Amino acid sequence: MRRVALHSLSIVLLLACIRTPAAAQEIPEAAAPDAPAPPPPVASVLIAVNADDAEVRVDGEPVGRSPLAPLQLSLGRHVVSVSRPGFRPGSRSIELDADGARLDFALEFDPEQAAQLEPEPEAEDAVSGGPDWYRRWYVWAGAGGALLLGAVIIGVAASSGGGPAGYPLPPIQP
Amino acid sequence: MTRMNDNSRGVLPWLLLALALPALGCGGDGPEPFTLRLIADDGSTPSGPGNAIILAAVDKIQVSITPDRAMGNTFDPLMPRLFDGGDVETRVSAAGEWVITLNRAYIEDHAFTQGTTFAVDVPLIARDTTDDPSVRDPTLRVRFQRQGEFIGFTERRLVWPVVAGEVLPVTVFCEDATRFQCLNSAP
Repeated sequence: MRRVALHSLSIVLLLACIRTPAAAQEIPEAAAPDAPAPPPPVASVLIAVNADDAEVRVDGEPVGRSPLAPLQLSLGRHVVSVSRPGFRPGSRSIELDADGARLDFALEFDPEQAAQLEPEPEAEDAVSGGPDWYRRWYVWAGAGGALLLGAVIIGVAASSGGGPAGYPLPPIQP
Repeated sequence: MTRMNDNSRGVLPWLLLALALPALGCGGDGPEPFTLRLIADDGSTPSGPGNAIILAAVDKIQVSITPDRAMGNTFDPLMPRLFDGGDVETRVSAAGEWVITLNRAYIEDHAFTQGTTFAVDVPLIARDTTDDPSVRDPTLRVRFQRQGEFIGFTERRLVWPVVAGEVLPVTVFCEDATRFQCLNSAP
């Protein structure tokens, strides 16, 4: 009986020796006082807007312009707002859980606001230094074509008409 | 739509201008010519030989202006120039006289009835309008030709400088020696 107990103690000690390195590594990790806190749980949020280039804010902070890739937000309550000039802004509050969420914003067009934003053509021309029709290629193509047609008409008239108004008579040299 | 209308409104004046310029070019007559009206004698001119010239007898007209050589007047040398598809040629001869030759096609196209005979107008654009006293009135000669032969002729002083817009009637006479040719209508 005494021999059995001795063997058992040896086995226990041997097992303890074998496990000692791993245990030595785990202990400092677990006991380190300045280790970073585990990241808070997040979830994916897809914010879809019916208009591109709308500014998206989460909790008042701008996160980008639509269309946006899914955002990773911490779990909990958030306020998402979307705005774009010419449209009525939208805002919504969500309670985000681990399953994530999708928010669809359908901004409504605001004609009055759009009218204030879009300058009158004349005003735009004045800002840019003049009307923009002269930058159109077809304007110059048309004018050039008309001039070419006129030149052809003159040429035909000169060649098939009644000839010159008169034949040149040179001066007499004294 | 508003923008398109604005563009059209801007383009239209340019297109109209582009079309108007050639129209102006077509409508303008250029400088007013001095016109020699060559009148074939119908035989009734008191100072003439009394022989008529018919249109069909004339296949070429040559008009020459000869400066007063005694005064040292001359035309600058001028290479032959063709007008009206070759129906009209102008040149300055070696003798220093300016010559314009009208062929049969020009005569047929421009001849018109003048009383009992026919006439042909020759419009000239004079580049010399200064009244330089050292330039004397040149001599104007007109020759009607038929198959290389002179059948009608006239010669007179031409008041120089010629006056734009003026029409100078010049009667061309047929001498007795060629009176039959002047009535020959055979081609």
